[in-house]
Amino acid sequence: MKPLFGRWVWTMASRDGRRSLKTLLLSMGCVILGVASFVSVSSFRDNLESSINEQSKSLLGADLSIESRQPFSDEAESLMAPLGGEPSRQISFSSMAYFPESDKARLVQVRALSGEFPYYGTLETEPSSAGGEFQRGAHALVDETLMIQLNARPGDRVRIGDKDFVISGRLRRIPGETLAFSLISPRVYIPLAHWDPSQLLEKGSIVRYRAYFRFDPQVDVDRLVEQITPQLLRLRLEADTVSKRKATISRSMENLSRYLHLAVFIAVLLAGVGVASGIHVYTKEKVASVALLRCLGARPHETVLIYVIQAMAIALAGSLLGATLGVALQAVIPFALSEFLPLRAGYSFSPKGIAVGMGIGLGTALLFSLLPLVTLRKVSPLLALRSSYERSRHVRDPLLWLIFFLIASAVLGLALIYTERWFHALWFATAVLGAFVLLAVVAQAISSLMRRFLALFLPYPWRHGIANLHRPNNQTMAVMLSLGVGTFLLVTLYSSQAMLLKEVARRSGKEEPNLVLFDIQRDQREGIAALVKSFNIALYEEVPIVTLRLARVKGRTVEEMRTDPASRIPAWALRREYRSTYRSHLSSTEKLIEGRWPGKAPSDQQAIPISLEKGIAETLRVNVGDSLTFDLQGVSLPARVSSIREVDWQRVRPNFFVIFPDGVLENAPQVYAVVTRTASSELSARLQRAVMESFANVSIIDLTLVLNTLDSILSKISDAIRFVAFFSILTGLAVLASAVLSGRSQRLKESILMRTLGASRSQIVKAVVAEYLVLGAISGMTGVLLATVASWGLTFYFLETVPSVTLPPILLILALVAIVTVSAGLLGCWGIFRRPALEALRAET
Amino acid sequence: MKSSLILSVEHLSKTFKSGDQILTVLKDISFSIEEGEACAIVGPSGSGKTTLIAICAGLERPGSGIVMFDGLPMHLAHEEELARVRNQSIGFVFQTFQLLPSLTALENVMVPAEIRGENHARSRATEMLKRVGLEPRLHHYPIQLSGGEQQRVAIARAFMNQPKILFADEPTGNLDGETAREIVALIFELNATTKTTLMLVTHDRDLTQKASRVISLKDGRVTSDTRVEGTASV
Repeated sequence: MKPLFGRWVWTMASRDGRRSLKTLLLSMGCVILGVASFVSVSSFRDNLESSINEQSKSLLGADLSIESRQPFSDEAESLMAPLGGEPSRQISFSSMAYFPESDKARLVQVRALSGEFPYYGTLETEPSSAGGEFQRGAHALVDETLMIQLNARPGDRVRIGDKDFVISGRLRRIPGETLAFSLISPRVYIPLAHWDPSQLLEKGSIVRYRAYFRFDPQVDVDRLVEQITPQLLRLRLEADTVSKRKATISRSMENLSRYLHLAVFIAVLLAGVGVASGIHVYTKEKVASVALLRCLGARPHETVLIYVIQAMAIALAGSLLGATLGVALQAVIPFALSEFLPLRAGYSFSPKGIAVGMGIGLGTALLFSLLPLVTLRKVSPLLALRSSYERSRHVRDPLLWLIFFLIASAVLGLALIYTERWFHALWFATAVLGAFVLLAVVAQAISSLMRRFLALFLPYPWRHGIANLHRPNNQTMAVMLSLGVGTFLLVTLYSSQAMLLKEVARRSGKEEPNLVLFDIQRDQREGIAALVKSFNIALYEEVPIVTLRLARVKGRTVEEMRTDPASRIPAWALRREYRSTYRSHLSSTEKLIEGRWPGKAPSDQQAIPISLEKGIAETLRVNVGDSLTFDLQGVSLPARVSSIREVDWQRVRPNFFVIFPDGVLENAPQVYAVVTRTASSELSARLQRAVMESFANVSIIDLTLVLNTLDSILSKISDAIRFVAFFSILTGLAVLASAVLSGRSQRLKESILMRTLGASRSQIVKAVVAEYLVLGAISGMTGVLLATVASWGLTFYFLETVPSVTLPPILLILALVAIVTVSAGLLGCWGIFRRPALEALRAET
Repeated sequence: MKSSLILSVEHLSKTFKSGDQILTVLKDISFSIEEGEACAIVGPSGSGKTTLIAICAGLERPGSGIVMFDGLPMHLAHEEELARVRNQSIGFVFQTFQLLPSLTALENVMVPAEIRGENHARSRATEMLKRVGLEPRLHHYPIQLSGGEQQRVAIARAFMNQPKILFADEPTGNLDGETAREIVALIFELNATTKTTLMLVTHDRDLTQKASRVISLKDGRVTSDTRVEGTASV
């Protein structure tokens, strides 16, 4: 049997490639960038995994931690005592912290610590000795972010309750916790020995009590925990071990890396477009050679194979260079994402990451290069005899459709690998391919519109330039895709962030409350009300809060369900404290969607009708009519779900998972939250200070601060996203450059001919500007259109509103895209005018 | 000595579709060529000369009729079979030389032998280039060669696989008078020494005069078929 192809195919590929492959260098640049982005992310993921393994103990800081929402009972103490050693203890709670030097107060998370925690890893501080020394006196460690915000320095004071602590150092990193967390809830460490909890820890405050243990290396901690699990459950204690913490962190890091992979996958697809565009032009140049080879006896598929081998050689070289660049770049990712990593990611060589990245690079290059290359098999040998021979069109070439199908399947397959969910993978693949297809359709539409309706009233250079958009060998498609996707990414990033902030700001508008005081004790209600009124501030709402725990769901005990592997209710929903309220009416942030709300408990001994928030009802898998039993400090409260509510959580009001009707909880131990609005931040600061002085246990959430915090967090997230999007934008620019340069020889011939026919330099320049200006503007606008739809979708999905678009920054991005495109077009013509027409004509023949 | 037929064409017709119109390029053409003949196809532009040799060489399918080449029905052959025939039995010389621009002169000449799977392509190609007088130009790229030199390379390549028939389409059409004469001499010299059949399309009077047979075409029909005594037939 005749072999599929002869050895000569390899020889021919190598000989022919020697001189002509340089024209594909920019396509190789696209592969380099695509592979580099993928390898860097894959290697980073592998490094993260090994870092988690290496630093697993320091992620918890101990071998075991046991947590309780109440002070450890005697029974709990006697359970923990035999475990060994003197454990470290920590009490953490939210409280206002006052910084006298800056005269500012902030809600912080206080952690009162005793003992040598962390046993593994360190509290990273500035100065470094502070982490080990702060417990020796009335000292505190304060989150660096907060200290920067308040312009505080070591040596300054911080007041918690009525006790002053000297700040001994800035807290930089806590093992197992992300820095971004410090923005949401800044942490302040104080020594447990120098603090009297009684004044702050009123009933109803959310307090966590923790004991940290260190064991000899031979102790099997997981087994130990398994043995005491029944007691832990009974005493409502939560155990955390190194392996549990490792699993949690690995899961969240896996999610992060999935996102990163999907984000860089756009860069890979763009690289594919770059390859297809470069190879398309290359293919056109090779048609005459292919026709000749066919005349000399080459079989159709052999001629295609010659150029497939060349494309793969370029892709291999690009992948190798890309992998090298990716290995180097992975060192940068931990810096870009440092705020979101709970550990220091190491740097190591990841053969798997490199192999996967290179495989994806080669696969993408192969599929995308086949799109133009398969058309070569239809080249008639007759072309060698008659260059004007008109080839038939092969729009319906089934092989082309097969390749498109393979590309779509590859996108879906990879999305599925990285999301592990069919729905998400389909969504991602549809969105990405949809964006590409839309841009391609717009490009095609422009070509045909220009052909049919080219404005004849335009001056000649403009007509000529715009006509280039539909002439043979035009680069309209490649430029549209590269610029469109780049614009799409930039605008989506910007718009989503802006829309989110705008929406949050809107919700804190003039009439909306902007200050919430909580943990107010029953005997402090009048005092707080009087204080608020003395500032001439209206008190919007006072809400009682009762802390309950779930005891039974549909008759089954919580302990039973937590140990039942078949139970599909997550542990957090069963063990959490339900801070609930009671009232006769629904608030303005709530909407009844099922059942009815009686408002008042029936006088007989029936189960109490309660209303559940939609999300928690779904989590607990209960519907209207199902029974729930709550535990109120040992007292059992049998309840029945009488209604399901939808709650607008974005509104600044105390919102609840569970509400009780009037007539049940009035005499239960409770705290109160007060909602109010201050007209200025200055008034807000004065009120906060006054509250702190008179009611040290009362905490305050200031919406202005929340907005600032949100802004900072979104900026940090944007920085991280921008870093990943940067790969795609860079690849897009490489595709643009590749598209412009691959059309250079044709442009050169054309401009020489135009000059020979008497066109002036300015006419030629105008034609180039017109062509790229139109291309840049239309691709930019299509990208903006796509981005607007995407960001509307995102904000609608998350915020359930359709916010408006801010035009000026989008127009700025559009102008930027147009400038970049025109500059690229003009750069592509660089040197054309310096060459005498005759010399150029000779060189081109 | 009795010659045998290498090519026979019977009732050959070919039409093309151009827009809504059907153009008939060849109409009921029949002739046969004997081994060793040097046959010139002449006629005005648009008379169907190039289409005729394209069909005879298996580059184009006939609309109707029979084309037998060396016992093989070309009109029925599969594309793979045609590729094999083109490689092993047919040589081409084109008006525009058609060298592969990214290959040197030597590599261009080696291509047909390499496609065939021959191991000694390089030495034979060198020998062929020597025969056409291009020994000093072996490693030059087409762009570095003059028109006449490029056509010599093309001729060397055409004879590389010792074809049974050489098709030449206006081989001197792009050359000046002096160079054209040299090329004509070279083609006929190689034709004589290798005993290859020659079928050429030309307007060149010199070339026509050297042919042993001249077939004239007009509007897709054979208007005359003349054998010339004492010319280049081998």
